[in-house]
Amino acid sequence: MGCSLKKSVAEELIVAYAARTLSADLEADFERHLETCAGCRELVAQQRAVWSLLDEWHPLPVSPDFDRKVFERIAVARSRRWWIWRFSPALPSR
Amino acid sequence: MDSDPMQPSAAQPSWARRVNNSETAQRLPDGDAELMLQVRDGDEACFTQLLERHRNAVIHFLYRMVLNQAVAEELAQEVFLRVYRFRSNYEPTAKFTTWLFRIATHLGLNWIRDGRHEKGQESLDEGADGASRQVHDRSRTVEQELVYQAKLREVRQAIENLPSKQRAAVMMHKYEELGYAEIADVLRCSESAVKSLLFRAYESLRMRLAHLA
Repeated sequence: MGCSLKKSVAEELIVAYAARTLSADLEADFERHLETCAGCRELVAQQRAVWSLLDEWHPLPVSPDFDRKVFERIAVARSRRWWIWRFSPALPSR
Repeated sequence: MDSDPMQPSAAQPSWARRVNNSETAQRLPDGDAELMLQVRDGDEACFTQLLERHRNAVIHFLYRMVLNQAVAEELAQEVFLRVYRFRSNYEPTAKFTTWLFRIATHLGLNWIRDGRHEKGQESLDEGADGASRQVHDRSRTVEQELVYQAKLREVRQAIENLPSKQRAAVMMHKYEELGYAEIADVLRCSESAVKSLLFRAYESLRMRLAHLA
């Protein structure tokens, strides 16, 4: 028997269910649906697998000098602006 | 394919209630906009606070977009430089993080679009054998570590194969826990377009990664 849900609704529910972001009552409703819908059950299992694989992908540590580089770039940008302001003939008299 | 999902009926489960984007609701309302207004008024200490709050999220997001830590950090520096440069134009019409991720996404998508990674810029996260430079977990045996690294390579490959906008949507949804509305704001598209992007992306990932389940 085919799924009784509209495809877009089923997709939204499957993604949210795997991410555990459904409200408790909606989750209970969806679980009742899953009892009778093998297609959605399979997609939920696959989506959960994707979710946990993505969980395993950890970001790398951030370089300790990241902030310093940001402030250096800000300082460079500032001094560039000062030079443009100081020597641009197009600007009004200073 | 039956009832209109927006029209609940007593006889049916309440699909009409929107899927709860509780991740959005759970994002704590912070004083980011307030801090940014103070930056606009010349308080540089507030900029440092914003940098400290969001540095990691921006770098991690960009890392997963461009799959290269050095490039991600360089792009993230540019993100914060732009935040600083455009401080005088800042108006808190949207959440600060929406604005921040909009800048980050724009830079990430441009980098991917320009194909800079294909122009001889070697991925610094890949070793000579293609192994990704992930932090080694000492609790794993050598064998487990090899299996883990192989799995990770496939995950990265599957992500890399997604069209860049789908990739951005998945990264914001999965790792930054942004709701559909906020992702739509970042990508400047409708919420339904975001859902469509996300569902297509997850469908591709399910197919590509099914054998690892």
